[in-house]
Amino acid sequence: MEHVQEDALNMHFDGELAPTEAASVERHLASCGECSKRLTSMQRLREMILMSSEQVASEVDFDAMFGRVEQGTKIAPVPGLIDRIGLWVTESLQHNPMRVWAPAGGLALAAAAALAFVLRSSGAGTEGEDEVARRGVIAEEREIKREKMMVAENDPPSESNASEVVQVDFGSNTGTVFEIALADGASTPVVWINED
Amino acid sequence: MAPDADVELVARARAGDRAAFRTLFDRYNRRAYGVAFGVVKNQQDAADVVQEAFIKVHRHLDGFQGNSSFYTWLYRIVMNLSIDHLRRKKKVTEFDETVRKDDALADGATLPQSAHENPAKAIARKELTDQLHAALAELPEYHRAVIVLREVEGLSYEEMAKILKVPKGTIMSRLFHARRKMQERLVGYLDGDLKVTE
Amino acid sequence: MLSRIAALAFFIATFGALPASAEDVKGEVLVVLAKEAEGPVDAKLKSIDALQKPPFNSFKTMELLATHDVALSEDAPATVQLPNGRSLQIKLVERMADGRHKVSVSINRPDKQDYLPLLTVIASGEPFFVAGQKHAGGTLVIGVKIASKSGKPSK
Repeated sequence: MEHVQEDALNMHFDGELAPTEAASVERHLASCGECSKRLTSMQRLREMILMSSEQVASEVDFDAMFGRVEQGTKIAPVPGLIDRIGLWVTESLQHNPMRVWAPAGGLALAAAAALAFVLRSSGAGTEGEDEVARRGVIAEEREIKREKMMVAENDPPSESNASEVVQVDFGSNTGTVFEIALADGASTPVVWINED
Repeated sequence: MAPDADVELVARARAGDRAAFRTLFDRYNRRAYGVAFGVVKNQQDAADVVQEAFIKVHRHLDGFQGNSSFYTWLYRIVMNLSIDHLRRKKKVTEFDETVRKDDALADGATLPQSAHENPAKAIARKELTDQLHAALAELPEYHRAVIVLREVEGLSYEEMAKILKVPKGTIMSRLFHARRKMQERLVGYLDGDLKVTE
Repeated sequence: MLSRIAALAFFIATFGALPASAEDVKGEVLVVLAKEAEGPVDAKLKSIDALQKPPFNSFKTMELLATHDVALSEDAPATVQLPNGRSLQIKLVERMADGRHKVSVSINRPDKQDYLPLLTVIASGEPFFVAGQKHAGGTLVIGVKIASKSGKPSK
């Protein structure tokens, strides 16, 4: 019995197969203990990873973290400043109005100039989402782990028009071998190199 | 009343609405943490990454144009900061077995404490967690990122491709490779020989 | 006299034992630049069934950069220069009884041993692919087709 190829089983597990292909895999799984076991193994791995992730997240004090985020962004307003300005304006208007209107006019002019400057700068330098995300990445050569991947010897194919990968060595990269199912039961391999 | 959409919250946060930003934070902090932890494999580092990510998000709300979803943008920032963090850490201390093992043990020790939990079960669960962390730590970081995004966040191949900015084929190749390696490493645990039953 | 006989015997033993050289197997190498952004797909590539399926179906633009006709033999590899500065080598390893051909494929940089040696059994039918290398903002997809018994690369 021909088993489900690794890439097809992965895609089925992730819900990425087209409906007809998914149905075909399901039919096979219904009668193949070995492929069902492979799928169960994937499911267990997923459960383990989820459980671990939930456990670690439950340990974190996110309220305290948000406090630190606010510190980092200075979201909290400076206390008292608005009140102090309001008080100064009120007192000055009562005793010496020019003390308010002259600097106010000057401030308005300065604000207009600043606004013009800001608008100009932001127009030229608005960062796209990608730029923001990319900033965190140090641009230097990665150390690439040397890894070999051997594809196990395949069983002799049932059809003579099928291609297969007998052996693969990705050298300093990692990779995967896909099998693309074609019409008439044929298939063709795709050797995908991860340039990590 | 339906929860506010991310795009509305972003707009309000951009205008200085603290509560809106807090809502975004509450909505995604645990998931961002899970993803960061999956890559950096250390609780303190993961917390630093998430904190830095949300600071970055707040500072650059104006730059978020809505071309992708908010969480795609957030995860991309979290991923880049996590990888960045790992590279910096590698420079300081070689990423050796001792460091990884200590991290794994430290994290695995913080299991939920339950007065009713069978001690034997707690020990078995801890061993499982330790083995999982050790297996994850052995993966190349970009493979770790993909398997965490897929298993914890349930993202599609296409969503992951957008976040990590690589072709879908590379996502698939890394994910299948990561799963294969994890399954080989954890064979005794995944086939039912050592499982924690409720 | 004896030395001449010995030389003749040596000559016969060496060259007489060699099989008659087999015909080269014809093949075709397609070098495709694939991108996920929307764009044109080369007409020749639209007819290749495999390129419409995962992992290729996320690529919305496919440009056929080059087509190379190669002659494969057991003696020496055929070399194809790739646009990313690497070279692809294909060597015939075995002509199989069922009509298929076993070939070895490797990719390296010039003068370096940074190889990705692959050993692939190919059917005389659809092309097989090596993909994933980054180039010019996209991904290189290399398709290798091997001739059918008629001597021409099949469709």
